Amino acid sequence: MADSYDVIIVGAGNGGLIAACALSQMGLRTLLLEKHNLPGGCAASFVRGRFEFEASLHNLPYVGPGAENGDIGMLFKRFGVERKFYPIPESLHFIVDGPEPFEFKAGVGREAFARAAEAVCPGAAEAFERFTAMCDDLNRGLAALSAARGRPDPDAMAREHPNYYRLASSTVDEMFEALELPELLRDILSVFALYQCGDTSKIDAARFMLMTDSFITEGASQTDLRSFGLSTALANSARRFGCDIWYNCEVSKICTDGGAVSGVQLSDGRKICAKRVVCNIMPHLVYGRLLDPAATPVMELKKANARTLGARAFCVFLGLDRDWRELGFRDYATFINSSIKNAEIIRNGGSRESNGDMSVNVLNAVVPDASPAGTCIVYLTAMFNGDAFADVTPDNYTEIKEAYAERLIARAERVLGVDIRNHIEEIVISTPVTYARYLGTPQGAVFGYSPEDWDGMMSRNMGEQAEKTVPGLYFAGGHGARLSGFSPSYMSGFMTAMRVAGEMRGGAPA
Amino acid sequence: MSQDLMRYAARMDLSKMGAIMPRRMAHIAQGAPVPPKLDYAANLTAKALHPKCQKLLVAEVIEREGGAKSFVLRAQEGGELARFRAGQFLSFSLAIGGSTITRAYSLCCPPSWAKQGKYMITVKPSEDGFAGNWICANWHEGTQVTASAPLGEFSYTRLRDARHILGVCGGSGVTPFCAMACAIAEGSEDYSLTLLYGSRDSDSILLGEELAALAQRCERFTLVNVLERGGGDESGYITTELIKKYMPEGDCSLFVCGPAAMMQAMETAIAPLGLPERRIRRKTYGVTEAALEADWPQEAAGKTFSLTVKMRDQTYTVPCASGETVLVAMERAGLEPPSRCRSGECGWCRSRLSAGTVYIPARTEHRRKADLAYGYIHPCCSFPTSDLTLCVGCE
Repeated sequence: MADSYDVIIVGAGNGGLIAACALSQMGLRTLLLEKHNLPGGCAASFVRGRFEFEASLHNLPYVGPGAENGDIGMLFKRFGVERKFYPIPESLHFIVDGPEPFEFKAGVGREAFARAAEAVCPGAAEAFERFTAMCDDLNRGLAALSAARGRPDPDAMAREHPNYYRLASSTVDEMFEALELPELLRDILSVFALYQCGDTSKIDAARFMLMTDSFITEGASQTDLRSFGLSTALANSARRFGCDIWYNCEVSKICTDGGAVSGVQLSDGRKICAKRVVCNIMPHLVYGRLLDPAATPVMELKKANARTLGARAFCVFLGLDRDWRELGFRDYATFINSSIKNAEIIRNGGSRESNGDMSVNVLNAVVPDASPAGTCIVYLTAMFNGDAFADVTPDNYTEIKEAYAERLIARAERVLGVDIRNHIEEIVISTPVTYARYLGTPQGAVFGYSPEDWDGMMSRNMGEQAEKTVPGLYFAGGHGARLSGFSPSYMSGFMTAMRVAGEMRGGAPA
Repeated sequence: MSQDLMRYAARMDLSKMGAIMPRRMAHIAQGAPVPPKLDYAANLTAKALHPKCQKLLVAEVIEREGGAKSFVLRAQEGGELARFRAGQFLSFSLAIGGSTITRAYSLCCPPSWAKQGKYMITVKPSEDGFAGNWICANWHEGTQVTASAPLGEFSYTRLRDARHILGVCGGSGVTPFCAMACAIAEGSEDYSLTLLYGSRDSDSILLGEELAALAQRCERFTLVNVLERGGGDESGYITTELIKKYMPEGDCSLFVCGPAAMMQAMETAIAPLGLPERRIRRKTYGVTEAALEADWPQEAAGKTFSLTVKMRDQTYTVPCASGETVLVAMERAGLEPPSRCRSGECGWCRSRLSAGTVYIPARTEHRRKADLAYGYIHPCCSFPTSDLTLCVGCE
C-alpha cells in the first residue's frame, strides 16, 4: 500500500538523513519527508555568482585523519558515503581583543597543545596531562557503558569507572577546580565551550571533554563539496537502500489514534500511515504545531517550556575577489573574543549591543579549491545566547542586519589586519530571522536547547529512559541527548534508528 | 599518575550522580503545561518577509507603450505585502489552458508600496510571447493571481556595491531599474543611478514617461535613452564607448539586464572596460531558448525525446522537444513541477536526472558542486539531448 510505511521521518536534516539510511538499510519501509526542496537542513549550501557557500559546517570532528577513523567516519562508511575530508591544521586558535590582548594557537595532537599552553602558561603542560588522563578515563567509562548495551551494572560501573560518574555529574568549572588547572589553561580550554555557546559554570564536564579531546587529539576536518555534499550523498544512499524521499513536502499534523502515533497528514491534506514517526525537528515545533495538545503528555509540554533555547546565529558569508593570503588572512579559524573569561563572553552574548565576538573561518585555507583561483570564501559567525533579534520587524530588518554585519567586518579587519571591504564580490547575511525562515525554530535557534546544568548530556540521557512521549513518536537531531552540532545530530539519528528498529523487533513501542 | 589523578578526581563528588534526575524532574515540573511559544519577533518577521505564496488581485491596469501593460496588484485580503528590495521579482503561477506555468516579473514600483499593500509589474506581450500575451489579454481589474514572495539578487547591496550604479538595459530589462529609480527618488535607498536604456525608437521606450518624470525630479537618477533609430539622448546601440562616456568618475558598479541576445552583445561591450568581476551584476530576462546558444548540439535539432518523470509515488511519460527546456516540457504536459526564477539561479526546480543527457548553457550554470557530482539538474535551463528519466522533488 503506497500510503503506509513502517516508519516516517519528518525532516531531512543530519539526524533525519542518518535515521533514513539506517532504517531503510535494515529493510524497513521508510519515508523521509522534507519541507524544503533540498536535503540537509542546516547541512546545505547556496550559490551566489562564482561562489558556493557552506551554510553551517565549520569543523567536523570524529571523521579521523583517514577515512577509517572516528564514529562519524564509521557511519559514513557504513552507508557508503565517500567524500573527501581535509584535516584542519589547528586544534584551537583565538585572539582576545580587549584591554589585555592575547593570542593562542595550537596544532593538533596532545603534545602540540601542551607545548603551546606551556609557552604562555608555565606549568600548564603538567596540569594538561591530568586533564587528558581524565579524558581517557571518561572514554573508558563510555566504552564500558556501550559494551553493556545501555544496561550496565551500576555498582560495577561506580567501582571500575568512578571518574566517568564524577565527570558526568560535574560542571566544567568543577572539573577545572578539582584538577587544579592553572587559571590561564582553564581560560584557554574554555574557548572550546564556545562551539556549544556553552557556559562553563553550567555545562557538564563529560560532554565538554569529549568534544575538546577530539579537537585536540584527533583534530577536525572540512569536506570537499560543502556539507551539502554529505547531505546529498546520504540522501542517495537512503534511496539506494529503498527509502522514499519527498521534498517540498510539509507535514501539517502528526496523527494519533488511541493515544499512539498513527501517521502524518501533509499540508495538502493527504494522510500517510505509520505507527512510528521520527521527528528531525525540535520538540517545540512538534508540541507547538504538529501534535494535538490533548494527545501530548503534560510532562512533555512542561519539559519543552522549562528548557532554555540554544544559541541563535548570525553569519556573514563573504566571497572575496583575492587569494586569502593576499588579503592578509593567515589561518582557517580564529575566534575573536572581547574577553578571555568564558563567564564574560557568555554574559555579553545576550544582545547585539553587548556581543561583538565572532569566529572567522577562511574556507580556502583548508579546502584549496573551494572557490576559483584568486578568490576566497570567508565566514564571520556570531552566536547569541539570548533573543538578540527581539526588536526586529519587516521594516527595520535590512538596516539591523547590515549594521551588525558591518560591525563584524570592521572588527575582523582591525583585529586580523586584513582587507575585506574592498574585495567583496558576494555577501550574504544570515540572521535569526533567516534560521527561523528555514528551520522554523523559535527565535531561529540553531542549537536546539541550551545544555543548562539540569539539561545536560547526562541528564538528557537519563531522562530519555524515564520520560515518555506519545508511543510511536521519536526524536532525532541537534536537540537530543548528545547536544547540538553535526556529529551529535548524526549520532542522534543513528541511535534513534537503532531504538526504533529494536522496538519493532521486540514488538510494541516502549 | 593514576594514584595522583585519583587524589584530584576525588574532589568531584561521586554521589552527585544520584541528584541528576530529581533535579531534572524539579525543573521540568516548573514548565507551563501548554504548547510552547513559537511566535517570536524573528519568526513573525521571517513569515512576513517570506510568505509561501501571496494571493493578489489586479487593482488597476495601466496601458503602456507598444501594447505593454502595468498591473497594480493588491493583497486579496487587504493589508501589507512582503517587503522587497528594488530589483527583485515575483514568480507568478499561471493556469493557461491545461497547463500551470510560472513566470518571473520584476517589481517596478517604489519599495514603500509593499507596506501600503501594493505592487506593480509591467508586462510587454511581444517579448515574453506565450505568457506575456496571455497576461495582457486575460488580466483585468479584479483578476485574482498567485505570486511568490519577492525573490532575486539583482539589487543594490550597500556592503558590496559602489555607491554609483551604471545601469545598462533593453526592453523589459528596464523594469528592475525602474524600481531602483523609484527607491532613490523616495529616499528608501541611498545610491546614484545612471541608466543607459536601449530602445528601437521614441515610441517603444517601455515606461519611458515614468522614467523621464523620475529623472526630472531626482538628481541622483540620470536617464540616457539610446535609440537605434535616433532621436534620443544617444543614437545607435550601447557600445563600449558609450558606456565609457557615461561611466561616473571613481568607483562604479555596472548592472546589466536584458534579453539573452542583448546580454551576449553586452558581454562583448563590457570586456574592454576591465572592470573587476565584483563590479558587474547581470540578469537575463525572458525565455531561455536552445537555438540561441552557440554551443547547443545541432544534431539534437528537430528531435523530440521521451521524458519519464517521477513525482513522489506517480510516474508520467511525456514528450520533450529538443529546443525547449525540460521544465517547459513538463508544464506543457500538465504537470506542476516546482520552479521560480527560470534562469538557473534559484535552484527551486532542482531534480535528479537518473537517466539520459541534457545540454545546459554555460551562462545558466549555477548548480551546486554536489549536484554536478550526483547528477542533479535545474530543468528550467536544461535541454534534452536523449530520452530522459527525471525525479522531481523526490528520491
